[in-house]
Amino acid sequence: MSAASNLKSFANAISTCAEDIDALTSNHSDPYLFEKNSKHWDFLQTHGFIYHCGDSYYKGTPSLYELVANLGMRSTMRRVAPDINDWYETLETDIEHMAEATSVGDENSRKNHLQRIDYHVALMINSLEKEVLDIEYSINSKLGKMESLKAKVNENKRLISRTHLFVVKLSSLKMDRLIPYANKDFQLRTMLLMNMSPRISEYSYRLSSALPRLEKMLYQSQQKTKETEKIWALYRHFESSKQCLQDDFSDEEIQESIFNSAMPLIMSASLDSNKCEDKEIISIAENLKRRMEKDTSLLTENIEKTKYIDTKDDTVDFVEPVLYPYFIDFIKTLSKKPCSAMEFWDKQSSNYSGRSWLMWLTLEVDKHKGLSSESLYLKTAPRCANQSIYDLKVCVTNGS
Amino acid sequence: MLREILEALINQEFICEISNPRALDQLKKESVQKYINDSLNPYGRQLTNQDNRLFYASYTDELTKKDRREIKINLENTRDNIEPIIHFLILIMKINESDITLQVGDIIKQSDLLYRIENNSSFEDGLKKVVNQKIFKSIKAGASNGDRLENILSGIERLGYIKLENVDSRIYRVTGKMDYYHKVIDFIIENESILLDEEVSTADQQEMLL
Repeated sequence: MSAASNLKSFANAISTCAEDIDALTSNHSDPYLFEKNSKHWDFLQTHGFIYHCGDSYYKGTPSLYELVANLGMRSTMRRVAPDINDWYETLETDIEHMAEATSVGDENSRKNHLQRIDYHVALMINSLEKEVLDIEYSINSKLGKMESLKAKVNENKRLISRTHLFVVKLSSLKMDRLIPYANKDFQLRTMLLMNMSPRISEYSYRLSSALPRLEKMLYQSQQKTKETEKIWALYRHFESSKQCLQDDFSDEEIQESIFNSAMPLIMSASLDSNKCEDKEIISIAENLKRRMEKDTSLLTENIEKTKYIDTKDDTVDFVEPVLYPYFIDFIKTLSKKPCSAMEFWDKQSSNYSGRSWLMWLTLEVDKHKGLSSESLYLKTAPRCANQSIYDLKVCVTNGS
Repeated sequence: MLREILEALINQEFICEISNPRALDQLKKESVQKYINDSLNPYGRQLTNQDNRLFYASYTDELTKKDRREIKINLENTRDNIEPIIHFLILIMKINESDITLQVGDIIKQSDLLYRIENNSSFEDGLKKVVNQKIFKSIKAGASNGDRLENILSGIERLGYIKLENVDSRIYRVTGKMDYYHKVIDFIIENESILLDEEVSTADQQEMLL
């Protein structure tokens, strides 16, 4: 039979007996009772995948187990690792035998051993190639989709120790011991020094460079685990009706904290000078207004000075002049029907956030005598002394 | 572009790969960072860089009285938003059957969430719990799960933690501000001495031994 027809028969046998093979390999010790498709089982037995152990009972050979393990490799990421030390020992023994055969002039024995060496080298290179590709695939796919982050962390740890083991084993190979033999035989030199040695170095390098990437991935997963743990911890904290950040922090503590993110700058620009006691703020607000009137803001000046070209119109449109037309529309809308600031804003299409609109509006309303505002809190939570404003109700008391 | 970056920063926006990738690319350049800093400094602001993944404006060391007041307001606002977002994140983890919280760049498909909520009464209860948090707009008593979910997602989007990427399909993406949120949580955990999972069990064991 040709190799192709053998492969077809093999595929047929595997396909027909897939369920039985699965059941058989799931149980390593018990013989499996075969009941049907004897033709396929005979084929598998003939080619060394199963062996007969009385009546209709069969057991799987190591080849069958390895086949099943290799097929499941992508999903489980587990496979029997080639044992580098054993392999190397066998290789050395074969080389020594070959050298002996050469010295006594036994050409047949020399050829046999050379063939075995060739097989071992090819086997090792293929196994290592698969191993390296697997590890690189795991890194590139970030370990693929797994059932949980915990499983991912465990798999990552396993891969690190496995890769590390390979690196150590490869670096401990005493390749120089093979050189004297290789120098005496051209074919052996081609196999060992021109084929195997550079490939081993390459794999060793690729495995070594995979280690920091695996460690980085593990670190990131552990960070994510930590973040999630903190979310759950805080959830438990709130579930037990506890509050947080109620203490008074010193200015320095707050300044250096994560909460030091600046409010929209327009807050400063919109401050009513008469109501503000901070001279520096008044000065900033006045300067800003003056600049806006002249249409020569500091921002525009800076932009002109730099090498970066802004393709947009250079007119300064701070939030205030941009929002002012909305303000006019809002007041007009109010005079027709009651409407909260956010209800109005949701109907507008503006790049500015509702938050900016609220902040600006809160200050703007104060500047107009005929207007008054009332902050709205959607839900009043008694635990918070200082509520955030989530909406604003504006009343026209005397015309604006 | 620089003007766009400055306007975003003075408008309290957080610039990240999701919210404004072009601006982020620019901000990764040291020359641009210097320029932006120079432009913000006269206003008492500086550029804050979180691992070159997130940029926002913060106050410089020369704080005015108003700056201090605004930082405190920011703390109070952020504090008030913490609990609702925690509830939201936990709900999403439960719905997705995931042991990992939302990460920057993660996609949230409103229709997928709604489908799972509609098919699980405990998710439905969780949704009601989240929507009742004060930062979300009030919603009618008889509102549908779809309305509730939309209300929550819009609320979270308003706070800048997610961005609506596809209006028609209602697909959101988690923004870099989520990294900022995690830093806030770190601050709270540290300041309130809240125990994590492992620490809780260790503390329990120690208590039992005593």
